[in-house]
Amino acid sequence: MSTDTKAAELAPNPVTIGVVLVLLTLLLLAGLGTKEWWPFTGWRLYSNMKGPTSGSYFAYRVDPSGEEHAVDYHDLPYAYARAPYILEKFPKLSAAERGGVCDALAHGEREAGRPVEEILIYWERRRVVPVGTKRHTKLLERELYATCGEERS
Amino acid sequence: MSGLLTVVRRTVHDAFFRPETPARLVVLQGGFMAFFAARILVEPAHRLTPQPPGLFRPVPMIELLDRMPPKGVVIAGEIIVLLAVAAWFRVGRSPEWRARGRRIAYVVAWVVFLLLATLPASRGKIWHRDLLLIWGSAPLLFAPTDGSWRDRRTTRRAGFAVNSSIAFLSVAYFCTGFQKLKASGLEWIFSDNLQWALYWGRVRGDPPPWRELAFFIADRPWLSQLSAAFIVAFEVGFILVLFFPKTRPAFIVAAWMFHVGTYLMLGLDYWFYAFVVTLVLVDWPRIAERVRRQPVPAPA
Repeated sequence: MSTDTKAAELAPNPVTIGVVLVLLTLLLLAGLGTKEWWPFTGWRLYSNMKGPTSGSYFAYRVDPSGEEHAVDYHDLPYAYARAPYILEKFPKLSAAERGGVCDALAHGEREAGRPVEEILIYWERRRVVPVGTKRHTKLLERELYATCGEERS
Repeated sequence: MSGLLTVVRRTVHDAFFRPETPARLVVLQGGFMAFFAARILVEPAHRLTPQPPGLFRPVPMIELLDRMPPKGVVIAGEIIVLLAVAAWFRVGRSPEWRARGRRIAYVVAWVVFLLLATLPASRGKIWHRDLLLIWGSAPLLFAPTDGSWRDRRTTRRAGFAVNSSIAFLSVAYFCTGFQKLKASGLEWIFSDNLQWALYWGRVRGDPPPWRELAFFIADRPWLSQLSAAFIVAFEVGFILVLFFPKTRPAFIVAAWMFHVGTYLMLGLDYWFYAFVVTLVLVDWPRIAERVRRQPVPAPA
């Protein structure tokens, strides 16, 4: 084997170099430009400021007696674990998508043996209250936003 | 000016083409294969099924799907990854099949793992947990697969693969820190931001394992700001590991402090980030060589 051939074998292939650098550049551009083209991502992990209050959308199940119960995702299968994050996007969803989310939550609650008359979506603002080593939250504002996909307000 | 350019050019060139041993590359490939298998066994994607279609928000890669694939399909994908991992280790014993067999096994495992990772990512929130594993292992798709643990001649071919993996990790961490500064500025550090983040913990999900530690830091503004400075310095500074290998041990320690800390205080499970950083930044063959050369103490 000539020295040149051996050297060429021990050097990276130019095509390989090109492909890897293109992927790396795309990863960098998505990261700097906050673009979400998963698996290229904007890497926003706790990047926004936190404060003492936080507003979120919460789902409640209404039972046949009319009583409201917060949907507890720990009591639902793992497939529901990230449903709260879809609720965060509720205002941007179409009517059909909202209906789909409510139907899914109602389905999960019923499968868990809890009766559901309807699903209500509230917007709530809470303040975190650290007490000793426990975290409590105090409800500051609450507004009914939608019921089973139909916006009330 | 041209002198500075030459230094910059040489530094960048060295960062990517610094020679490494095929043994180190083999450790990386085997390590990533083991991580793919472990990730699937620890948190199998088939737990996401069945899922009502209303909760499915596909990432662009799989946007043609209108719902989570059936459990059988997902389990089949998981089995393919596990078989590919097993095959990678098995064919390594055969010099005849090692190069081609390992390449096929690695590519199959990576591609199917990526497809499985789209499923937890298609639930309404960006899913970062698998991304360091996916991106750290990506450059090795194109790397030589004919190396062995015994091969300690350094080559630029092995070096480019190892250094590229380090570059992907560096970009990921750098961008995470950069985004904190872009979205919030230096206030992310010099304010009560981290205090409130620690008081809140994970807004959704179980309480963190060691809330007492989170509150201990949150109750002390100076300690919260010091911790925030550490986080940003670690993430933005991670790019240094690409250009200055001597900084790597410090960043491995920092990665463990950071990821163990976020798990204990916020309940965020990013263990595989620490594992990947350790796998990629440590020169395992060199450590093995040092251990082997340690003089055995004479019996008293």
